[in-house]
Amino acid sequence: MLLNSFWGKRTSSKDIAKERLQLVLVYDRAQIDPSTVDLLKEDLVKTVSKYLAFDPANIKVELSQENNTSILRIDVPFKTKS
Amino acid sequence: MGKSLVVTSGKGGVGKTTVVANVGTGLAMKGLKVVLVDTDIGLRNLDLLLGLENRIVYNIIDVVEGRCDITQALVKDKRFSNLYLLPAAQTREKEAISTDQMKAIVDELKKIFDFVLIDSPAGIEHGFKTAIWGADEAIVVTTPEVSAVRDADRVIGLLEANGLKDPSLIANRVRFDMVKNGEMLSVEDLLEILSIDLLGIIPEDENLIISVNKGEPIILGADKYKSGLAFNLIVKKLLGEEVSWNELEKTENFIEKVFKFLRG
Repeated sequence: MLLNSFWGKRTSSKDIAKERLQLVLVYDRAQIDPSTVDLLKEDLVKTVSKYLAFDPANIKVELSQENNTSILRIDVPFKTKS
Repeated sequence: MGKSLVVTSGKGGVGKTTVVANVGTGLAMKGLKVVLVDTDIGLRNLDLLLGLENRIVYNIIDVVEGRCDITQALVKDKRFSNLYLLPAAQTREKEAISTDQMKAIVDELKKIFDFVLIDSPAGIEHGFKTAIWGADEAIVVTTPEVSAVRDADRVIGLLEANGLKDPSLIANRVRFDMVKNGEMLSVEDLLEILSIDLLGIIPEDENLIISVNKGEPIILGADKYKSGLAFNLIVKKLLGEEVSWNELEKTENFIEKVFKFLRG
């Protein structure tokens, strides 16, 4: 506790448990392995790269749960010209 | 026609059998005719929790294989003449009974008893499928640990896939002090994560170990123990009464304070 406040961070172990559970249950309920999503991500990067210029490091592919439905979210941010 | 309830959890050791023994005894204390069915073939324990291990003559597999009538296999409780146990076989395997055979037995028992409580084995294989087959409703037991909650979620999915919609949850081994410090998932967290209704909360209680040692369900001394009180509330809720769980936390604090005071 003291150490946590010292570092200015107070994430309780309960919050960690809840976050981990919610994440793992999204995959459990959809019956998909996290590794499958990783493979999908790799393929997506390859495919999208053929047509568009974007930063592969920022591509996000993740499962989430909304109103009892599993949703696959794919975020492909374009490269910002600087 | 009585009602059949299966008590299940996925993960082992979270308190299924304890729940069946205590809720069953509690319902019998209210004067209802109750039978407890142990479906954990090969790993029977419900007899021990009730202190009936020396009275078993026949078991559920003897019924299935025609060596006795269902009524011959029922073991009458020591304390309540309206409470019975249908024991599991200890020397056989889960596959010795089929889902249809289980349903036939439970249907038969529902004709005689007000409540048929089915104690399911851990896991989600054949034994689990058999246990849930004859049930009208399901109760899921979990503890506030990530592993138990994950398994409970899996079981809830399987129950719903098998037609047992809207199971209710019993949160066992809750430590209100740890919840308060943010070091344990709260009951509200469990309900939110699992999207399930609450049937009961059982606080962690070392007296439960002593009650199992003696083969006397803790609900028999309900007013003395916080877990006994908790089981009493579950029985009331099962019978349709409104219950408040705040009472439980207050009692825990009170009992703890008394103990602290006595220890000096």
